[in-house]
Amino acid sequence: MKTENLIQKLIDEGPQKPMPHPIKQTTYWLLGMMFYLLIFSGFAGLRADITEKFLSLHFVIELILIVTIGIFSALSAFCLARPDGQQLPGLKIVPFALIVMWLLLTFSSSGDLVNGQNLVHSISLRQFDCPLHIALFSLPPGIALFLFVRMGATTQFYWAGSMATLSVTSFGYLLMRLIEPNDNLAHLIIWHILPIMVICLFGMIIGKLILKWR
Amino acid sequence: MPRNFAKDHSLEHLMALAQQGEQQAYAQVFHKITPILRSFVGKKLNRIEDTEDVVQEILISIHQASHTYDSDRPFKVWMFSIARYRLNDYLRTIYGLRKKGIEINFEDESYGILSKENVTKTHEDQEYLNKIMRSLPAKQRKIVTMIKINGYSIQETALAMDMSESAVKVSAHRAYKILAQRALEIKEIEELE
Repeated sequence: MKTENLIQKLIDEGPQKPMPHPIKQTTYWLLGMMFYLLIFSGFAGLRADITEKFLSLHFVIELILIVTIGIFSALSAFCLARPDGQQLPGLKIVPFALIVMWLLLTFSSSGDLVNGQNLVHSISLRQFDCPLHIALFSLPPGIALFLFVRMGATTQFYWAGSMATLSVTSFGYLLMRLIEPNDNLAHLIIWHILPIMVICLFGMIIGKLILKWR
Repeated sequence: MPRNFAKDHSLEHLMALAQQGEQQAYAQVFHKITPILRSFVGKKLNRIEDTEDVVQEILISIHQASHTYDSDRPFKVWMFSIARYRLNDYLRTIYGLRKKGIEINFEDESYGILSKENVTKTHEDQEYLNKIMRSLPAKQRKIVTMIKINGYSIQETALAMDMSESAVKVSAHRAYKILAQRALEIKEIEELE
């Protein structure tokens, strides 16, 4: 087919309706996630000391940071759904900067309680229910978010996949902090943070398989 | 009633109008970007047919991704992101095939007329060859003659011309491009006649 004929054909078809702005998409996404979190935590039941925990500024800041990580990684995923997602390179860095802030906050308060012995002990407890909860919680919104991102035309599928996964797993982590009365840092590292990192790596690979614009 | 596009001809404005359903603006977008894309792809690929194929691929992709364009952002950045992505896709396919041992010889396909078997086949061919070879600068003509007619290797040509191998390759590729263009022009003239 000659290029001129092709152009005429494309003009006849007309452009597609523009996608909503990434901020708008993230707002809807956040509302949906909060609703889902409410239902899930309602079923699982909040931790017994939740009122007491909410009085702790440290805990509140931790939750705020986690929600912010979830929001920014979702926003980043929605931006990366556009082929020119690289126009906002800083957006991919924000979730990592927030993770560093959160790690600093967590380790500054109870980092001294983490040592090799604690970590080994935590591994020996084999608390697989925690990563399972995170994965189960993250799966439905994860599928939804991947589908939303797929509606675009991402050229950075690894980043888009990892950002989408980071967003849903952040909310998964948030859920666990709301329902599980265990603040042991060694436990959080082994059974919450490490599984989330693994899930995010998996999300990167899924990103290539599902989000690659063909 | 069609709008007056004279007010703002920027691609951002035209695409924003197109997204609102202005077909005329959409047509203008395509007519404006096609030469830009041709030049962009032409710099990376040697064969005109390949360039046109990739340009068409990019145009289709731009159409398919038209819903992802945000009119607050520069249009060209968006467009070149798509163009680069599609061009890389194409190059990956070519290199992938080469890795698998499927050699794609651009010159033989496109410039078969220059192969040793063909050049002396008929007097007509010889004349034709001379005609298009005259369109080349002296240095490039010498390189093409040495490689394609006399059968020298790139290494031997480089040595004889006192040039580096890569410079010979680049010069030869540029010459092939000119020859292909000239051959096309001659063909078109002959068809008209």
